Amino acid sequence: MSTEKLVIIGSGVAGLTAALYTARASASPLVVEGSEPGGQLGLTSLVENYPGFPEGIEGPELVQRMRQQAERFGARYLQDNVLRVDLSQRPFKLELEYQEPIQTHSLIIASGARARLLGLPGEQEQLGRGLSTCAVCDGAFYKGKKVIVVGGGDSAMEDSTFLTRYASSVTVVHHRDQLRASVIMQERARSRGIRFVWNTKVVGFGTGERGLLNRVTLKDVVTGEEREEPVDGLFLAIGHIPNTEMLSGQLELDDHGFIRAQGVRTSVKGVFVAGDVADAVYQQAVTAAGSGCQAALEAEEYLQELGI
Amino acid sequence: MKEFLSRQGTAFEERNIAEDPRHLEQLHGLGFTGTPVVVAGTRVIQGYRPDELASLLRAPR
Repeated sequence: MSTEKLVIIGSGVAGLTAALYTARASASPLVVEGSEPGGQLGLTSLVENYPGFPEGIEGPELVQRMRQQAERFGARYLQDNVLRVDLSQRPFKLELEYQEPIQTHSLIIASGARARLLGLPGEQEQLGRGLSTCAVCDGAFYKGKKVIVVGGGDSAMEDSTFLTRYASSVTVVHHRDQLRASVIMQERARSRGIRFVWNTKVVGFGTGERGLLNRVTLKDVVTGEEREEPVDGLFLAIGHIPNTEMLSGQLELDDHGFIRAQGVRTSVKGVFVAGDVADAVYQQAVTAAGSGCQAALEAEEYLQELGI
Repeated sequence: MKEFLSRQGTAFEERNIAEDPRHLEQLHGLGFTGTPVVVAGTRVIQGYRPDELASLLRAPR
């Protein structure tokens, strides 16, 4: 079993920033990329709020540049998923989905968060068949079609605005009577002719030809009334769930499943956190980069203490 | 996906839906509204699934 100085779980903005800093400090970090290389930014379109890019930059390009930047200084990448970490022994042990386990003297958990689903039966199996959590990835399939976006935050506005490039009709379904989204995102969406359905939840869906989703059941949360609506695509933008399953209770989580930490330090010495997996509040690319840097500096100091 | 297949030394043909709408129609015809999709003979794998791809590559042809 190989023993690393530092393993970083996750290859989003937080993980790649941590990789850049620790690579420059000659810690030779090994980044276990996870099932969504590049993290959530790899699934977005134009990023306009990352400093230094006055015209904006495509999310996948931004993370690709970060990846190359860290690689230039010696970061290494492993295409695999961490199934379980064992923090009770030192070095820490990581079980991977496809390759041999690895040991590491220090660990940065930057495993991020994944899209939340509605919790309906058969939902997971329907993904990619008329149901999507990524408008940017799948929007092109809906040219001239009718789609519904569920959610009321910035992501829902971004997704619905993006989908107007393809779809003939875009409806936002939100369970409240007003949006959480920032004013600029709301205005952008409204200017594109998007329809809004308030106080309504999606409580079911149906399929037709070739197993494709072809209708949803909507429930008015005020009157309790339910109705079916024909639709070609259902896009979910209802938040994210932190990816902490691999910890299996070894670190303390808050009520929503985010890792509880003191800054970037966890309750286990030598284990640090960065990015959305421990951030229930800000969840921005730039804050993820900031915490990736902090975790890297802490990890370097820890390795120095160990004399490694 | 491409990197994974290349590392396995597997020959493949890339069909980019953004470059040719016929590929998008073909996928839609198979009942898919998302990428990536790997088609190998009669087997179809949706999403980036290294485990399923590896088993596909190991299977006798």
